[in-house]
Amino acid sequence: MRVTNNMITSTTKVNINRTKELVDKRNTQMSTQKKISVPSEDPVVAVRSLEFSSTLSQLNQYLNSNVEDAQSWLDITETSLTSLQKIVSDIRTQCTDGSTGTLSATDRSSILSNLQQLRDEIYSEGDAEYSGRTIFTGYKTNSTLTFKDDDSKTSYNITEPLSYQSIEDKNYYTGTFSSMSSLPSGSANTVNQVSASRIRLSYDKVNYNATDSGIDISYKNGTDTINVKYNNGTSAFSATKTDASGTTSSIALPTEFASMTFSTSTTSALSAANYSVGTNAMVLNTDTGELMLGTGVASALKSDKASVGLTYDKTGFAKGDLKPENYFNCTNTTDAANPVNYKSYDSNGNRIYESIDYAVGNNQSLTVNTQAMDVYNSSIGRDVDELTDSVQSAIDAQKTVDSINSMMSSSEYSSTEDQAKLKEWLTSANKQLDYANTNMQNLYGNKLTTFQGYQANINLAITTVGTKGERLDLIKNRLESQITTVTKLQSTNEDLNVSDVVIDYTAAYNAYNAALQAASKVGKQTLLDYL
Amino acid sequence: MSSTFFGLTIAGSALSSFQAAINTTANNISNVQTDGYTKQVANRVASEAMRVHLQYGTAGTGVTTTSITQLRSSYYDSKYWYNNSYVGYYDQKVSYNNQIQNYIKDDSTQTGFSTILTNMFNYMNTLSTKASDATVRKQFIESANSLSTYFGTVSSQMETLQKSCNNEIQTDVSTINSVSQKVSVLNKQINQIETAGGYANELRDQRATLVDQLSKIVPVEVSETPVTNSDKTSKTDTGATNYTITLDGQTLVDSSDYRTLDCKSRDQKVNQSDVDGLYDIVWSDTQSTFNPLSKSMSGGLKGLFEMRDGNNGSNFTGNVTSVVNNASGTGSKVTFAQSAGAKLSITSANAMNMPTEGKITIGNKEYSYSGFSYTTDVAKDGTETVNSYTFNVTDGDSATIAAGNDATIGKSIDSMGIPYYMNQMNTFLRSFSSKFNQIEETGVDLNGKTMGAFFVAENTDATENDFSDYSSAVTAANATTPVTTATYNITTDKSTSSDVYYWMTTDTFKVAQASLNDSSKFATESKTSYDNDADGVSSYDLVTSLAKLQSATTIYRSSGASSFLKVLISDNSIETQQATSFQTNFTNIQGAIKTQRTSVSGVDEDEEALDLVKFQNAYNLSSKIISTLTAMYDRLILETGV
Repeated sequence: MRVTNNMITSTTKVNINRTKELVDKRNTQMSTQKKISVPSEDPVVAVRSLEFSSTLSQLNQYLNSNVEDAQSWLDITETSLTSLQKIVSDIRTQCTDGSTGTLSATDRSSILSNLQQLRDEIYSEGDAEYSGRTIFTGYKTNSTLTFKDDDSKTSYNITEPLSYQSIEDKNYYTGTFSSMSSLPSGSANTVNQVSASRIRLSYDKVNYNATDSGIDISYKNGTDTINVKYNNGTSAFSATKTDASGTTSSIALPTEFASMTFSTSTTSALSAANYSVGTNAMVLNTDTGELMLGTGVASALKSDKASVGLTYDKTGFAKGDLKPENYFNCTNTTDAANPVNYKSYDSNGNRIYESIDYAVGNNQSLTVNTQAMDVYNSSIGRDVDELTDSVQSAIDAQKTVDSINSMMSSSEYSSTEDQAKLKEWLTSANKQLDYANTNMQNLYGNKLTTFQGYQANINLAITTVGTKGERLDLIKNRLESQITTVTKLQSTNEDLNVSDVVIDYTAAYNAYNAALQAASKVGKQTLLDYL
Repeated sequence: MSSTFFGLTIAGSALSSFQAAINTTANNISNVQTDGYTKQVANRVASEAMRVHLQYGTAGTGVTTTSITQLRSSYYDSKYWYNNSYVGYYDQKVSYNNQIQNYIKDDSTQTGFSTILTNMFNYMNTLSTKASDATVRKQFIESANSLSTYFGTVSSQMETLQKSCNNEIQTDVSTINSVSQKVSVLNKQINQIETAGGYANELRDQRATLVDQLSKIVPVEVSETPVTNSDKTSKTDTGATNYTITLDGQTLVDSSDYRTLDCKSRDQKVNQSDVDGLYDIVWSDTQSTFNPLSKSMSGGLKGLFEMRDGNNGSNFTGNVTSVVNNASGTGSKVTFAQSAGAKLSITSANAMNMPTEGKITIGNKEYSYSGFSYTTDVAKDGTETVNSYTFNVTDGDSATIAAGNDATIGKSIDSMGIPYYMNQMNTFLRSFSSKFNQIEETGVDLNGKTMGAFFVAENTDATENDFSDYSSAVTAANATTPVTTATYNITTDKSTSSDVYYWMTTDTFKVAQASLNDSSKFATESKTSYDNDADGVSSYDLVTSLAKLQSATTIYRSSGASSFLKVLISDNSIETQQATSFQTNFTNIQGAIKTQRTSVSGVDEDEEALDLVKFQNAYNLSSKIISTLTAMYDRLILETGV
């Protein structure tokens, strides 16, 4: 084939360019240490590296953001719960002290002040927060568990589910009197102790009105559910039956509830009536928030294993009261035009859980929050209140005895008839003191067990948090190793070994040099040089 | 008998012949570096013998230079031109595909769609843990906003690319025109010279270079036939030739006549996301369309058109079901319904890419339409399947349009150009936004108010389109007596058009301004959860459903949102890779053909040097003849006789 000089020059040009392209490619590879600089060089590598980088980003989000946050949340919860446990254990110590032997006046006052302090602390622990969010209130992270101040305006309509298991017998005292400064006329009060059945509500100072309050007793009879409801208009109970398929029909009142009545009352009225309610009566004490039950009603409820849903109003809350929306189905009726509904139980009576789940892996989540309902409720507070009341009664009874004694030894009442009268009063006062002391001791003894139960609840909550923490540690370890693996895979996919690249680059550069050298020899001489 | 001084004539002819030869060699040497220069040779023929009335009968009369010709191979020329059109075609495809690749790539050097989407879902994840925190909400909303910024950037980049493609088409068309004009002028000049005898070598070289330039843009076929005398008895060449260049079967240059092409700018768009003023090409004289995309075409122009108009076959096609004339007398409503025998090409409401008004070709005739309406079957989860379209044709009615006619909007182009990528992005955005908004609309924001659409389309008058007509259709489909069909109108007047996702494109996609201004206007809580606990500000059940959109819900081409870029990158990078490898192939073949061409017609310095030596010697020898003859004549004249 005829070859011209120009052909040789243009071929040389093409070859130099080809080697240069390779040098350029290896150079880029060496500086970036990546296999490809544009996706079209290797589409599969490009798409795979997209997958890896998004997986890695997700894993980092889980590890650095969610797992860290969850761990802090769980730590704070554990700290709060541990303090709570200590508080309850302190209360138990007080109970132990209070239930042993005789106490002096100073002992009693110190127990009283301790209990009051502890009662304040219990519920304020429940307001604990983590980075601006309260941790025990479910989704309501911007509001505290308790009322921070006395609030006289807020009003709620609360539906509280009570059960036959909360029926207890309590001692009430009538005819009590406080310390006297002068001798009253008339005969001495007789102090009586009456035992009555009651179910204690979560709040005191409640209201029952005809428009939005109600009672709903329900129990199971075989496969049917029987509901006994109170009609505010007719002031009578009526019953309905819902069978297994869901059809409701009205039936006659069951025999055990046939003559049941309901009314509201106050402490003074009940005291005047000696705490005797009719056998078939159900009386709501609106001052103390207790549902007093007649013996017939109490036994009927116990035999049917019934639950009582009581809907009542409460306006005005004290500092430290628990907010009802964390425990019950209720409506905030402070602004009558805009009532706000809260549901903690659904229509079948099942709990609605407000769990905050942190995503800590693909399709994996961890519930980080503990709801107050699972730790404690208002019973602890009301139990402590009853304990303090009993101590206070004992202190008052002692004061009364002391005041009578001082009156007896004063010159004013030195006359025999005054002394005789005072002696009567003293006997009553001593009886009152005995009652108060015995009541206090018994109460403390009983409450020991109750508080043990509360402690067990809190312990359970602490254990749950602990196991969650352990699970979180496992998850953290796994995430860390996953990140290592994915990073390794990503690197295998798109990175180049430096030594390989350097060798390739050197080879390409050598080829380029050789091409340049060859090119320098081309076209140096032609025939004309020799002519 | 020949004359005494006959020898001188012979020597003289030799001298002039060799002088011509040396001049030719000198010409070759001077032009050794000229591009496109073909080596010339002087052709010598022994002169006609003369009858001499002597014993030896005839005697030679020396040498004549008959012609100076080029050594050119038309075979290699035509091979070169054929190959050059493919080189041009793949060059353009590689260049534009590389640019698209750079716009959508996502790696350590450039933040792309995948990174932004993963960030958005990561912030959403954080949102699920702190749903009430204003900072976290703002962070998430801003990350959603960066998604809209990204698409806005990519869309404007693609539009710029489409515009520059368009401008290059215009430049190419002017090149074609100027080349065809120059060639026709050269043809005339060449014929003038060659009719008078000889060859116009330089002009032929110029003409071939021009055709080289032309062949890169469009594939050309060249034929050169000699013009002969029609007198059958003599059949002599007149010396003139008929030089024609044909382009896609049509004549571009015919000797001294030439035709030109014109760029006509479209007055209506073909795809919804096209820029305005894209060119179609017509022949200037007949105004008939020139189709650069026909199967027999290649060349840079075809590459440009494929990149600018390529829709990968996703344009609207259908079969006329019925034609209803308008009461006003002009125009009609043409309906295309989906049936077993007549399938619609676009049945997903999110994949619609027809412009609001444009041209529709029915039964091979082109009509204009302004606005259309479509009916869909709405499923409970919001997926819509289009089952009929009705176009408002403004200049055709039942006189010319009959049921059963096939119809298309635009052409079905089997390559992935800019309209294809724009359409894919539009489809993705519409599917993603509609699923996202659907979930959002079941929730309430931090203030307890029902949430509207979060991703909206921005209208030209800066108001926001919140797709209320679509939402009502989905609500109706979920009602107790479900209504499962919906009809929507699309017209050039926004106030009479339905609010649907058709209006959302990459450059109208944005986050609702209300949410951007106030981070509390984003729903994390569903209505049922709000009804249970109105104060539950950390409630986040909606966020859990939204997070599924990242990969668990099918949004785009049978995969989740995170696969969008992967699918697009594989489309584009495989195209680019293919184009690059073809480009390399054809360039290599080009190099080989060029080598062959140069081998035949190039100037070799060594050869020319040898020729110089050869002809110089021959010239010297010829002049020696003269000196010898002179000596002989001297003797004859001066010393023979008296």
